[in-house]
Amino acid sequence: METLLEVEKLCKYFQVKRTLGEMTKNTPRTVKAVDCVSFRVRRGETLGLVGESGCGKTTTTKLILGLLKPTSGRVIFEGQDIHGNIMQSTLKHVHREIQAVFQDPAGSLDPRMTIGEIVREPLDIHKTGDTSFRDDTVRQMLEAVGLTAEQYNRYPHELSGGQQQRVAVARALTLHPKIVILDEPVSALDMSVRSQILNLLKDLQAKFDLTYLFVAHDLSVVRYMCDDVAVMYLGQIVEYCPTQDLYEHPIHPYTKALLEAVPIPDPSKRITRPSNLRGSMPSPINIPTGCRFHTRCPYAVEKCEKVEPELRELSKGHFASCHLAETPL
Amino acid sequence: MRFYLGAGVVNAVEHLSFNVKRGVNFGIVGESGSGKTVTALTIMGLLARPPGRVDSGTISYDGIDLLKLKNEEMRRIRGKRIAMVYQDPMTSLNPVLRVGFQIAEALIVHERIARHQAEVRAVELMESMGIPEAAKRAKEYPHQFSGGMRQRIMIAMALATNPDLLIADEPTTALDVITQSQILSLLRDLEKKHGMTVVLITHDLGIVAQVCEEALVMYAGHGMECGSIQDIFSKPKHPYTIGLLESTTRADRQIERLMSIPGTIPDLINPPSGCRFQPRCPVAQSRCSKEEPPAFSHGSDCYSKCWQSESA
Repeated sequence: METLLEVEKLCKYFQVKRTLGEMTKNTPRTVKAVDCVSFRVRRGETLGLVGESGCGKTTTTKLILGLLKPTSGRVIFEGQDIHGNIMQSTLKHVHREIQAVFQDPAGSLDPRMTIGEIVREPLDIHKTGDTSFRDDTVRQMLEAVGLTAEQYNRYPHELSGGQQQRVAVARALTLHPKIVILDEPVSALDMSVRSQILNLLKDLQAKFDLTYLFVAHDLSVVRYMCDDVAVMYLGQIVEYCPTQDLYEHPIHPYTKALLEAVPIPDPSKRITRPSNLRGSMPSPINIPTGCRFHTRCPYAVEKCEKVEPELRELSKGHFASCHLAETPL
Repeated sequence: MRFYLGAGVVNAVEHLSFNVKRGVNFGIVGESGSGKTVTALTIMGLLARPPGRVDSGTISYDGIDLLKLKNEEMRRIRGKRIAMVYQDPMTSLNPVLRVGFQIAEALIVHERIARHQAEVRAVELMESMGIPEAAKRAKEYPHQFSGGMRQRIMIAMALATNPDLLIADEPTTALDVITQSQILSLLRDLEKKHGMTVVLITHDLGIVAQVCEEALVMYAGHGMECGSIQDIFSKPKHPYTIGLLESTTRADRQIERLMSIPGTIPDLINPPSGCRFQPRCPVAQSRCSKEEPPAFSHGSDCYSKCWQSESA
């Protein structure tokens, strides 16, 4: 399958304000939110981006959506670097092709617009078709996401969380984008509604030939939705491979710890020993030297403190950044 | 349990019965609006009245009906014999008091121990919760701790008076997955180490399976199914429990297509007639919308509130 979206050595550093005291102590002033991240999303597939809060998942999506400028690196969509020298008209076209659905449906819908207006707005902004075309598209989209025509004139607060998320999905799809960035699309939803939205997203992917970048912290949801998965830790990808490989043969100690910590809804599969990871995630202002995971890694050796491991291909299509990848742990 | 609101009366919890046995960790699972937190707050005597009101029923704890107690009497039980850990550790800790003192406070109030002794005990409790450098950290304020550490402080605070019963309301929702697994194993060990019974309230079926021995599944203010963890997960009886289990994503297996429960959670001001799950139930019959099913018992402390269980 051809690559639709490629992220190449993408970095985003933020400058932080320091107090005078901090300046004299020479505390670092940059937060490396995203630090040299590369991945490819193939047409028609779903790439999962997982990690704990603060690992840089959302910053990565903002860079892809063009909401932030990268410090360095490239975001290549259909062969064009969207942050490079690009004509305004091409950029506008690219923005139509990359759409997003966010975590909090209530917070991402304008409370003063009706459902119909919300779903129609992208068409108005991009001046697509005439009035009757826009009306038809909105109706089709509302139907495609499982909303009824009578909800057209409702306001977001009149809908349930699941229905609001359907509206957000419809809005993302009105311009028929090629790729949709799904940033934690179901974590704010109730259990019985979650699977409805996940199945809807799968159905729409098949129907409209969509490509997804699925950002989540919940490993069980990622397993259901994704073809490939990239695991992020402190702004970097530590493991990247096809979904089944990741869940059945994880390599990186961080991935292993994450997978062991997921509570399985089966009393016979209890976690018998608590996670052997030490401490908690360090601040992205003070990234540890060498392997950035070594401060928490139960297997770390001297080399891990000094030398930063590279993301290496250990078996076909399975990348991990760990010095001890070949050593049985 | 009813709420009298401007918009009408909300029957937040109705006809709910369950038993928590000493030493058997009990889970209450439900989605938002299912009444699980209301149930916990009612047990604790912490519901705002008005708008809330308990219209009928009893809460019997060690032979005492908690609903009949005067405020003063309840205050002696709450925090001493029944303690609670709340969902959000940031807003439940006092930001202007040192955490060591906050843990010691329960001892000072309930056990009438001198402050310095209580603070020594607080440090011991923090150590037993796995907080490193406890003596130093007891002098710090809540904002200096991470989410996981704050939750450990909340648990230490609840354990200070050595209660029999600990109610934990979504104790890990704000935490990342690794910290969550550490807190859950801590809760599971409380029974062994301190002889304490935990009532764990959660929306996550995985968490109940990890910590509890018995569980209650709630939906729209009703207890739908109650029984042992093994029965609920391997032989669920109620269509809602079955639907929930089949629509849950799992990290331990590849699922081709998830089932899903159609529709949305009902509005409790105008709840559906008959069984509250009936509008979304795949096996609903005409009777289900007319008559509310009673809790059909199948063994001690096991029930399913579904007409299908009548014949079984």
